[in-house]
Amino acid sequence: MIFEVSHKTVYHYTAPVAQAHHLVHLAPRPHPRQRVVRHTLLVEPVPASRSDFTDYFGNPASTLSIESNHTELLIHSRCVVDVVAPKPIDVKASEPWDRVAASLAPARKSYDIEVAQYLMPSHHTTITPRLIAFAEPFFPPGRPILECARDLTNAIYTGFAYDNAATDIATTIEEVLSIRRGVCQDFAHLLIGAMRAYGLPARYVSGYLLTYPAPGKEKLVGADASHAWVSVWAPQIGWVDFDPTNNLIPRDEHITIAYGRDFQDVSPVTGVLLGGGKHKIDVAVDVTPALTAAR
Amino acid sequence: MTTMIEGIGTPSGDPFADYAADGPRFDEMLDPQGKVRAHWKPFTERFAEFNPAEQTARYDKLRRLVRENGIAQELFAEVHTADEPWKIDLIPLILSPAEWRHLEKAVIQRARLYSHILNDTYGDQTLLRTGQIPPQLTLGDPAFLRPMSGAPQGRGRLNFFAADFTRDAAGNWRILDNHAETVAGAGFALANRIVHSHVSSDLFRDSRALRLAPYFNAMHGELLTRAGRDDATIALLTPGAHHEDYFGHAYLARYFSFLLVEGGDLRVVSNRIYMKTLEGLRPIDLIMRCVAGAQSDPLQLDPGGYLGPAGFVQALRVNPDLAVNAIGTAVIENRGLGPLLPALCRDVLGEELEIPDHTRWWLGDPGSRQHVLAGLENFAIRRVQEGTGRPGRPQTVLMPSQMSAAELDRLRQEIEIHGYCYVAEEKSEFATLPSWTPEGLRPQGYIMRLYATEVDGEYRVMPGGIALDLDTRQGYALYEPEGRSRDVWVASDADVTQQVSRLRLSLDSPKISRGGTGLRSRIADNLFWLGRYAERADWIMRLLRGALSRLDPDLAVYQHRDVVIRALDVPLAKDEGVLALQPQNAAIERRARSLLSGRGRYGLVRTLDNVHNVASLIRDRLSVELWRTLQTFQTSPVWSGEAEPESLSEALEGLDQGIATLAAFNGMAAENMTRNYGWTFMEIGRRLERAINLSELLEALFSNAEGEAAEAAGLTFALEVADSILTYRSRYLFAPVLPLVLDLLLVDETNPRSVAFQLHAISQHFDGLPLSPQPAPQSEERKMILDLLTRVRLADVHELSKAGPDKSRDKFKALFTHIVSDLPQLSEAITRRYFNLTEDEMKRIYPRVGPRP
Repeated sequence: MIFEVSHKTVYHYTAPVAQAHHLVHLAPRPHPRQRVVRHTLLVEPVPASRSDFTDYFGNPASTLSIESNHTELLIHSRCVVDVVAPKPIDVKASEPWDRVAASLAPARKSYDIEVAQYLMPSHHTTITPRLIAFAEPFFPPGRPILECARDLTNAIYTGFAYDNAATDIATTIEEVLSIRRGVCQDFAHLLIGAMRAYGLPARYVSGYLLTYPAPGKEKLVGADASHAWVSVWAPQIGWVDFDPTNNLIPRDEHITIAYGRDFQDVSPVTGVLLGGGKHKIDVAVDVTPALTAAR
Repeated sequence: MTTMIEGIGTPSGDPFADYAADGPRFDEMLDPQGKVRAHWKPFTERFAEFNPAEQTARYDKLRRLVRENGIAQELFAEVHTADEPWKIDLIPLILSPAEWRHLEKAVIQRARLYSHILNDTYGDQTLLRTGQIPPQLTLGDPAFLRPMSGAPQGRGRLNFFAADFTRDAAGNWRILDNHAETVAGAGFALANRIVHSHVSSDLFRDSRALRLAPYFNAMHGELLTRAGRDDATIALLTPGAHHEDYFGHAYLARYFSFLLVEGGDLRVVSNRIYMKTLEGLRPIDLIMRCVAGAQSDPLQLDPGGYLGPAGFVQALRVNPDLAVNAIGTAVIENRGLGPLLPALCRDVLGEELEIPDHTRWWLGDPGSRQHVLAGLENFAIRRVQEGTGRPGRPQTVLMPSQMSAAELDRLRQEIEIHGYCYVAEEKSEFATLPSWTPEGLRPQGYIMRLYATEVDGEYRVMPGGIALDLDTRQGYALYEPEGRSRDVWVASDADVTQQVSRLRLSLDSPKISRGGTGLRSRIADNLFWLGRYAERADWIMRLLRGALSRLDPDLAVYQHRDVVIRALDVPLAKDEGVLALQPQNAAIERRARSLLSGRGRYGLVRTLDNVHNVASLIRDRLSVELWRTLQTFQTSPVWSGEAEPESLSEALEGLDQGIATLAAFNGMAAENMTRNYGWTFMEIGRRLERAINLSELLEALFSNAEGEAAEAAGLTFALEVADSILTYRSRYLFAPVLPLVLDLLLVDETNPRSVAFQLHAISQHFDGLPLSPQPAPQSEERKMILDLLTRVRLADVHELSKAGPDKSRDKFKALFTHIVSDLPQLSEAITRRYFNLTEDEMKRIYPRVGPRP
């Protein structure tokens, strides 16, 4: 499926910003099921310097530095991507989770470092006794790893309420477990933390999701949002995505921007400012299927 | 004991005769037969000639030098309690030439090995892929800074390195900790050497010990080469005066003539690093990084870390040689690497490891974890990463043997979950060396830190170092809480007399450089406040002297105590809450005590603390004499608020001394400080403070007309506090009257104590400052000073002195209300204009994923 995505971030400051450094992860990452047709990044005011690079996790990233006084900053990312649905996955055919964990434990002779990267706890995925207890029922000995992940995804979807007022970017897994609510980011961190607590690699996926308006309603411009889900690794099969917010295995309506250990590695836009007083951020995302008629 | 029997010991108090090693443990000085080792003999033989009095005298001199040099002042601990924070033992640790060659080889091997590991960790990660280093160890280590990966590294990531050595009971060396993040206290080692060799140059010479200067010269040369320009600007980046290693940073920066900068002084523009100065941005060619790597760039590293400038990582991607050590080097400090080193050394360098790490188990390894958990009480648990800093800082060690059952359960659970964050070590014995005390020598456990630096692609080891007392009673290496440090001497078998020691390094082609440019805003700010606080201290002391000298009932000035009370209430009233005092009997005493020993904001104790604190922040800018002069206040119990003066005369004597000390400080500043912007800001601070204090006093005393006698008492008091009584007497033959006193203290621009003189001086200083090229009074602070100066110049002292029927002097009040409220605003305007450079604090912003509420 081909999509056009527009992701507009506007910062409004109450006082002039003398200097700003921003780090953005907005360009979609190509992968075997995703082809990036086009990506453009528009920044106003024009940065004094911009560096595009590939980060440690292989994601396209850019740093922008703005040296002139400004009270408003626009970062507008637009892209066209072509996403193909994965082949149907038989979760029961994956290897038992305990065998996977043992194969990745210390004192082995070789490691796939691209997998091992995602084994260890990170800033937003601290492992606690409570998390271990929460995940325990999903890891009986010998259960196939993807089945564990699917059941956890389902448990998070059914046991936690989507509530965008309950949490913020500093909310820990521990708090989410206690209030049983959160947004996609929190659910992704929870699922990742649970997998890693049992010695299994899981990574955070930042991206977009095609949404549908309520029946009979027009889709509102800018009503979409950045989305986050999880990718779990299984031997022979590779990385398989799970979306605990929507209780599904993504097909061709999830657009991948970046992989990281958690949100902090791949935050779409983050910056360090001098000056600026208070700030307000407006974010508008539109995901539009393109050329669907032609297919 | 053997030596006594053989009669070598002398009865005159040869301390070595009575020294015995602590059981069968290895001792640095004595061999197993109890004889002094050959390389110690030149030292012990000379030292034995000193009688106990001379030994004590030397130790006292050592302590005094430490204090005067301010080594390791814990700046913001309780200033008065840290009386002797850094101690140096009179006995150095002496290494034999053969021993040294072994250690040198081991340190160089370590540095080469770590350099390789770093390049691999931040490059191909082959060692992780092959499991030679378990990936969990590195990937779970917060010191592994992913954004630094892959950046091509011009000259290697590891420029400086240090390792902590101990010996086991049999005398075998092993390494307890490795340091790659910062210079790890090399500045302390240098300061120790300079201080110790000052006291014991004879012993040093006799021992034929190697000098440190060639090492530091080579290090300096290497850094200049790395900076890539002849007149390069090199900056040592420090976390700031609050950090425990700050002294070492300041000392090293001064020794090398590098700039000492903090993160807030720097700015990254178009991937280059600049220092913010009053005149604008000045480029930096090389940064000697002495801040934690993870805290070096809030944009791409720890979002809460502001010890380096935002954009640092990107600047390093463009120019990796911009910083030494590279960011991310702390990853080799991980204690979990220790057990892997013998194999790594063989695989990577093709060599046997010269000196291993202390025996430890990395608890991320399932086998090791099982082994340790099976007998947890027999081990001590440490974190794999503990950071570095000042040598001798306390370290965290968990002792399962001393834990309650509940604590043990928690620890087991923590190890099960986060084992990769911990190592375990068994009890062991440690070697000793003699420690000097007035009662004789006693055996002391120790740790020895050795330093290496890369010069022309090869590592070079400092022929010396620093040793620290260890508390080994529990069988683990723990820093002695009140421990001493000691110099490490490397005895040479060659003749060392030709070696030249140079405190200042000579450069090939010295360039003429005049100060005054490139003053950092932060330093300007601190100098401004140093001027203000020093002047405030002087003023309060004069106020107190005037007040206390009126307390003797036999004196005529004993009358009119309410005048004195009103004067003392001016500073006291600035502390809300303190002024619950009633104008009753003994009111002067109580107020004076409050100002002298109380903890109020304008009291002397706090003011002198403030002087000390701001002076500490700019230590590198003050001459040794200026610093020592200010230190007088820190070392005297009178000014600490702890010991109240016992009598009136003692208090007055103390105040006289205090005023004299401040006069010495001001005089030295006037004579010795170059007239750059820094000096200008200190002067502005001083002038402004003086103008504020004097106008507030005048306002408090003369806003209303009193009886003739009371007013006369007030006038004399004001003249006295303002140090203008002699001038008045030389001009007028009659008792003080208000118009003439106002002329002298308010409008006379020739009297260096008058308000007008201060305002005029401030105005003149403004003209010399940068950032004010516009013609005259356009900026806020210039408008304010012009307005104030004009009002004062136009003041008619006779009109001001007239009182209405209600005794109120309305014109006087109007003028002084204006002055007293405008002066503090002037101070704020100066701060806004010069010190902030239009910037707030840096801050980090994040929108979150998902729709906002």
